Amino acid sequence: MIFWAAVEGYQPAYEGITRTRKSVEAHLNAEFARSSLATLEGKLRYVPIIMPKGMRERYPERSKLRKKQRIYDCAPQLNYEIFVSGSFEDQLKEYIRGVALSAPHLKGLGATPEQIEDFKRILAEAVPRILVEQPDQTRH
Amino acid sequence: MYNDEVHLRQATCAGAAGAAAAVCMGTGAASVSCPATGAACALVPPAAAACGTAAATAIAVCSVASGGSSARGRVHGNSADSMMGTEVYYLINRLTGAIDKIGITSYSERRYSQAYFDAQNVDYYPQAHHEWRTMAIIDEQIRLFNYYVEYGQLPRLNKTFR
Repeated sequence: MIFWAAVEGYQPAYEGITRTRKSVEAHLNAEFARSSLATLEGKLRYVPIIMPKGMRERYPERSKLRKKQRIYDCAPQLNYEIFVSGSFEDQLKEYIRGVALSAPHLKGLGATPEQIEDFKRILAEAVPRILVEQPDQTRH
Repeated sequence: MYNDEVHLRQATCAGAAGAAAAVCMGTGAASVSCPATGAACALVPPAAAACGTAAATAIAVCSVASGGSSARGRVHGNSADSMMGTEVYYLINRLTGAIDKIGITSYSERRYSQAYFDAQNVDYYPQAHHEWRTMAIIDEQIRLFNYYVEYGQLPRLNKTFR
């Protein structure tokens, strides 16, 4: 399974979003390739919506399973303030929280229970592992 | 509106657009001719300002000239007269961080699909919200002209000025 991520966000959060996305995307794709998810054909297309109050209403969540294309579009709303003023660790947690919402839908891509468990485990371990892998990123 | 008045407004629009094009082509040419090092590529501020001002003026004049209201007083969402709220947005390249498109939309709920983001490798970032669509058009045009003046071309996914 391939993890791919873009974003619908408001400009002040750009730096936080981009830094987090780059870290998570690289980490998850490496971990998926080393796990049972390597044999799952499909794409998790993650496009979180990170907008402040007053704009969130105009950009509703729009997650959707595209079974024929073997794609799950995961597009939840995340906490904007965290990406503007939160720590890198908090940004990672919030970003991963959004990714985790797709776990129940992987079955629609043909994932086995083992693969779904692997997915959950990888996400649960992701934040501390990324922080260790990227010591140059300050936690706070 | 009488035909004479329509023709007068259209002529005014054409004049303003022509003036803007003349001013801006000058700055564009200056930008294109800059050396590759970029060291001496700083634009002359008055030229850039004149370009942006001329463009904004032309857009505003033409918006009024084209009119937005129908005979029944209803305004379409894409009309320059629309007051339904319009956002100026950028599509930003995921890898390079470059601006790949400057655009406006009044229909954020019917926005680009995730498949489009995937195909074009971009993120979506709203920049400003205007209640009056005309102001959003002017804002968009100024940003496009500034981009053109700085880089000598439009963003990758912008085919033309409005």
